[in-house]
Amino acid sequence: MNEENAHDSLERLFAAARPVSPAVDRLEFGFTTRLQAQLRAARSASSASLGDWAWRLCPFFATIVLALAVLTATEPRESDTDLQAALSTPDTWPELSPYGGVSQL
Amino acid sequence: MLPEAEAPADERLVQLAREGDDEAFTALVRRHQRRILALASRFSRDSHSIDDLAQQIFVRVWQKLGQFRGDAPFEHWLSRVAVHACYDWLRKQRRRGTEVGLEHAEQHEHQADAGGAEAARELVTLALAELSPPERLILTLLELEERSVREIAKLTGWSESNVKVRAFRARKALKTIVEKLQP
Repeated sequence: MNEENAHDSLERLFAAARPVSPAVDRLEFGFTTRLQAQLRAARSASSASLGDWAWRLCPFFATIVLALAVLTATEPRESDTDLQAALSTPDTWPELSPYGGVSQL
Repeated sequence: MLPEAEAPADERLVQLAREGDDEAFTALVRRHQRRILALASRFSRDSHSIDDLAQQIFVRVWQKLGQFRGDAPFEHWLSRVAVHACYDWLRKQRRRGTEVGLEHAEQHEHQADAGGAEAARELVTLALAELSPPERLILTLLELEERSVREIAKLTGWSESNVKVRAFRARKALKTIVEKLQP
């Protein structure tokens, strides 16, 4: 019985609360004007975010470019090696063994 | 503003809005703002919060206009976007702890005693604030918006059995809460 009473009480409460709040009438006034301001903010936020990301990624790409530059600068080039080999004395040249290895002189 | 006789259908306004016609979007908003404000008013008693939530719904609609396929009436799609936005809003409020709950019940008891629709709304909103976001959403849609279980399942993407189970638990919890609030 108590369960039924509680159920009925809740049903009556919901029925009383169903009509739309009078606040809605007041809020309708000027709603689209306020919304337009929100949309302008949303538009500028979405265009700014692309620029933001590009700006944020700059240091990352700069680091990659620098690292590549350092790597290529420190790595000896094949032509340099050949030139060095040509200029250095025969004594320092490692002998290649007949089977492709380097023999100790 | 277009005279009623020449007012284009929602789908036509959506198409124009997608092409960048702001007036078309404004016309769409004016057509549906009352319904969206009414839905938002179910989740808060504070006018600023109601307005804020309704604004968020339409901003989301504007952002997602490209996703409207037109295979169902615009109103259905709008309802789905609105329900999802309300649910996100409820979860954010719960995380922030900004909901006005039972701790404010004493301030509103005298209003609840006064009777009437406003008092009932106050009491229901206070009581529903104590439920989890999914339970609050379901009970609001079921009891205040008078949606069917099937409609709620379509709006939320939850299964009908999930909706029924949550509704059952929510009603049971709400009975206890309301008994505490009412003298």
